[in-house]
Amino acid sequence: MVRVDVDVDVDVDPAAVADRIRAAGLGRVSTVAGLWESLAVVVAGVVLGGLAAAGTVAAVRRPLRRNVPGRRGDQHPHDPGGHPTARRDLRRQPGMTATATSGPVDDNGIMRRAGRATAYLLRGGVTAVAAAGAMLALAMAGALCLVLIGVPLLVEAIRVVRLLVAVERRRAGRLLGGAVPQRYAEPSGSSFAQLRTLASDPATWRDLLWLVLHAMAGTSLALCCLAAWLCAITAPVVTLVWWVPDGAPINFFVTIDSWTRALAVPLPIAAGSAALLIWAGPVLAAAQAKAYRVLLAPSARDRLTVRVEQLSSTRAAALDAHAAELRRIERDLHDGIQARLVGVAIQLGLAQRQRDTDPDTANQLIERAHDGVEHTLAALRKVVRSIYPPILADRGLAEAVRTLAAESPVPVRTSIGALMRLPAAVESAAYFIAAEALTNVVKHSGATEVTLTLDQGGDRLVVEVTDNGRGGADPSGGTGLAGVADRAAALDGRSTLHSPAGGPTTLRVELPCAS
Amino acid sequence: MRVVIAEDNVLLQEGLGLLLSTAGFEVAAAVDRVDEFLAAVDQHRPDIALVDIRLPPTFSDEGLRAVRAARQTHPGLPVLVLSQYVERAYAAELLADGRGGVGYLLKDRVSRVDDFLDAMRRVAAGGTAVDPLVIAQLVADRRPSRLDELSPREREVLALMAEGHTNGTIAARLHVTERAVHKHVSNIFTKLDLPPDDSSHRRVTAVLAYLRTSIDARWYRTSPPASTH
Repeated sequence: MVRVDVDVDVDVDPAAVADRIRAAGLGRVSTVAGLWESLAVVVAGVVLGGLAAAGTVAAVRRPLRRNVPGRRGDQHPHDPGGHPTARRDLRRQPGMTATATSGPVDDNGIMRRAGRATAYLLRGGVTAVAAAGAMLALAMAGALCLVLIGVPLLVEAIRVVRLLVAVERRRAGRLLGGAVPQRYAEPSGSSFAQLRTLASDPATWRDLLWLVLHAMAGTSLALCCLAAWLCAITAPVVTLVWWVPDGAPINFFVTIDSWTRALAVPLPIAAGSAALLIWAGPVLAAAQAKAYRVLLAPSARDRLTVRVEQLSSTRAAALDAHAAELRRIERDLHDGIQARLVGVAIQLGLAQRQRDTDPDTANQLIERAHDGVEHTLAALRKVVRSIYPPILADRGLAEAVRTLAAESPVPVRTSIGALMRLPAAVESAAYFIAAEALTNVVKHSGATEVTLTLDQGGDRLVVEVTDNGRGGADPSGGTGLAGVADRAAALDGRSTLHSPAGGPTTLRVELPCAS
Repeated sequence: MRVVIAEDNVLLQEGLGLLLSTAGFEVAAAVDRVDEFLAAVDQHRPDIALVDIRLPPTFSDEGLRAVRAARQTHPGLPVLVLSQYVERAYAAELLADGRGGVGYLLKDRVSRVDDFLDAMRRVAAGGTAVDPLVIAQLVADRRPSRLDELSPREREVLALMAEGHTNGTIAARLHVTERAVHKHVSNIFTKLDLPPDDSSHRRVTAVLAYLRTSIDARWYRTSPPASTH
């Protein structure tokens, strides 16, 4: 809409200029140069310039009123309770980063916004040129595919496009606040296999579409922005220097050969350009970034696919763990309790046979059977406790974990915050995670002291176990830490292990516990 | 000696009744609900109550609450609580009022009839009978505590005291003279800041201190004690 063409044709018909001004609604202007014309043009110029100046002043002052404390917090991505659970869950998925939507990080200061928009659009020009180059490279590699050597080249070219898209994603994310999520299928194997994977990934086609769009839109917007800046800066200079006598008249869309024209033409153009930069710039930049966000972010369907995959795998793990647990209980009852009771029954049977012939032996057998029953009861208590500790049911997690800590052979310092009664599944998971962590510490760490922290912050329950042992714990080494991760994953929780060689080791598990 | 039994398992209720009546106790009432238990205690004023910790409707720790309620209306009512499992936090809660006359045993212990009847009589006389498993939990606790000041022998004596044994029994168990046990007991009282006194009340206080040193002092630093539930 605004083009920089300082060398426009000299022979501009004054009538055409007047038409243009009239068309812009500046009022009735005679084609004859005269007093009325000059006056009207000057008035129009002053009015336009004044409007632009007033607008600019208002714009500069606005930040002062807008910058009310708390306003930014409304749209902060970490605002508790501001996001529905579903989105939080999606955010946690592997390969998918941060929020998909969120307001601008900082929208105070219209001038700052204009500056940011300009920077965004101009840098967009650079990436647009790169996009055009990438298109060319892709086209060449695609053509070379006919003779096969293009296949690896094409794969590499698509990787480069992904890097470029990543840059664009970051830029859009920065402008809009909050990152733009991404999800790519990771190609592997031969070049052909990689190309197949890439071709079947909708993200690749989204990237290519973006490439074409951005090569065009990014270049045009950057040029428009540049033109507006040039107009805004050069026009006032024209007004100042048009009269300098060096022979050739200055052209600025029209020939500037009188003060009337020097005031009436460049100044409104400068004001208009500045107004465009201030108001239209941010809108265009945001529109571009939003369009790219929609284009480049995985679709709701893709996100749901990821979520379903994740849920399927954690559900499978939970079912496996459940089955393994049932097998263990079955073994404990069968090989432990039942076998002991059989022993007791045999002893009593023997005692019965010898009651009359050998009362002393019979009494000894009864005494041993009695011991056997007591041991069996103790073993049964242990099994029951391993299924669901009674104190957990009676008194809740805090009390149960304290008991756990007191029983550990390695001294445990507990720090337990105020906990509400949580869903049984969460309490049980947290309890057994703590138990598993403490068992690991005792078995492997060589620690002399453990700190167990249990706290509920918002809708998450955090279990953290830190020991002063030798570190270097490896989740893939044993079943213990993997079991912890599975238990956490089954509840949509997260477990992190930090265990450098030499220690200390910290296991942190977060469990969602919104009831 | 008159007994009120609160036990929801019919088999166990009858077994306990039979066992106690053959041992010369008079079973005044055998009930299976908390409200019935409280009414029976009000009506019969028993010398001792025998209560299962898990009672209807939720089968968690109703028995414990029933005991607390009964001892509020009848301070010092001797109570022996039976449970399928023991937790020292519960033992501490039971002993919390410092009046003694409290027992807390695994149900398994009933099968050792003589020991069980002995515990019944001790509790009825205002003594204590804390299950050896609770004591084992305390001994297993490796965290630093005031009990660290006690010598290993003194800890042994305190553990047996908590189970409810007299100086004579303790001496026999540890194969030492009764005078030696007496000396250990005074040392324990001194180290736990209790005035040296051999009465059963002091012994209850010492046992309570024993249970609490490991439970309350550090356990409840970050949350209110369970006894205020």
